[in-house]
Amino acid sequence: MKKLFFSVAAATLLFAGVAHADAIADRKAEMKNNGASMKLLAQSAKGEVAYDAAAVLNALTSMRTTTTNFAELFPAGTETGGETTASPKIWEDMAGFKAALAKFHTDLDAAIAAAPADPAALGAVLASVGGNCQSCHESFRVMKN
Amino acid sequence: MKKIAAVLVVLAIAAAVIFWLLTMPSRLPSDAVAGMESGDAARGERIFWAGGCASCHAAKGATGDALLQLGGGLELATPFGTFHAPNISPDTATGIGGWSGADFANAMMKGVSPDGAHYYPAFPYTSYARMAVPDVADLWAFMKTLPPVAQQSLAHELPLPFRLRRGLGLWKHLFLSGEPVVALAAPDERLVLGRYLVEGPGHCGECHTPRNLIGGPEKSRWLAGGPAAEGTGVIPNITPAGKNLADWSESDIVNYLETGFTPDYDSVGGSMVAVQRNMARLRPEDRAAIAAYLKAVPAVR
Repeated sequence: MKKLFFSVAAATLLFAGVAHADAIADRKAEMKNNGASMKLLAQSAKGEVAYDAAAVLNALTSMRTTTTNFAELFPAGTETGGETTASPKIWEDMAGFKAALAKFHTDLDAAIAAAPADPAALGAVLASVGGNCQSCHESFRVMKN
Repeated sequence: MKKIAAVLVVLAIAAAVIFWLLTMPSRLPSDAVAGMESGDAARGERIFWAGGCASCHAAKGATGDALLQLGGGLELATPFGTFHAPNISPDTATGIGGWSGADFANAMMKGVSPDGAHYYPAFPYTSYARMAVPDVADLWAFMKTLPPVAQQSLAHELPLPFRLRRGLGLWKHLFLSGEPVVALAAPDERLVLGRYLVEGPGHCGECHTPRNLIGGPEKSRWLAGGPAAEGTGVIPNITPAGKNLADWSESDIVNYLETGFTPDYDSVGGSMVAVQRNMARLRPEDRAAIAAYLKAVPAVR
């Protein structure tokens, strides 16, 4: 019985550890995806790549849908490990963190609804969408290396 | 026995006098500050953003016009204690509205207050000492156009040894100099401007250069980064050997300073966000000069 208990406990701990590792890996993957989307969007707005309205809309939609669960990827226990660059302020001010994410989503929804058809229109919506990267990272990310 | 005591007393007095002389606040010569009242406010705005004044002296989280309300704000929690950025708005009672141009120049370039006290080097006068006086005069003219904010400055919260400002006079002998840090191999106009902006008003080295035990910059590791003096995390190495910048071209650096995005479209973060917003307000040739200088400084691993 005792053995069983320990096995279950060990398995639970192990599972929790894996789940945490997943949360850190998942949130990193979501940010990587945002970076790739931003690259296409910024280059499209600047005329560095040929403007493809469908690809632009796809990038905006991808940022929106991928990050819907972003705030859930910071459960207690994932403050450190996995080379996370998450700032302790996320857990000190979860409400502020969620509000920053909500603003990002609102700006993205507006950008998707606007369906920018040319570089100038995209540049206008990117000014608000892109600003979220800096303002959120200002408070909630720290450089670790 | 009496003789020994007398000698000791004389030695103690001599030591006190030497300490007193070595720690005397030193001011700029009066002919150096003669032009301080005839600066140009329009030119001074560029120096204001280059100097990052608002990032510490405006209220925390300020944006837009609120960045010009310099009632004080930022709290710097360092290993030496907590510093509070004071009111430097033109308010006469609580700010610097009663100062002369010479007072302002001595604060900026010598770290000395109008009443002759040493400022703590949390105020980056060790960098501002490398500025050209005409730029400080232009900045002073611009500062006087800003809205006065009536707000009492907060006292710094420091443990006892650091509460005694007089000792900073010794520290200044070691670390305060108006000389450039990096000797440029081929100093063209662009590199000289970049060096001036980075080492002087931009005060990049105040965060990006590691500090020794008594808080002085380790100039052999100029811009090589290290643990953040404030808060958690690290400050990146921005020499050509730093892993963040090694693969960046000059135009990548320029783009980062202008837009806040890295070549991979990761974004600027932490306290660099406010710095980048300031850099975005400079002239394009200023950002190009900064990038050229960062590519020319000694690579430190």
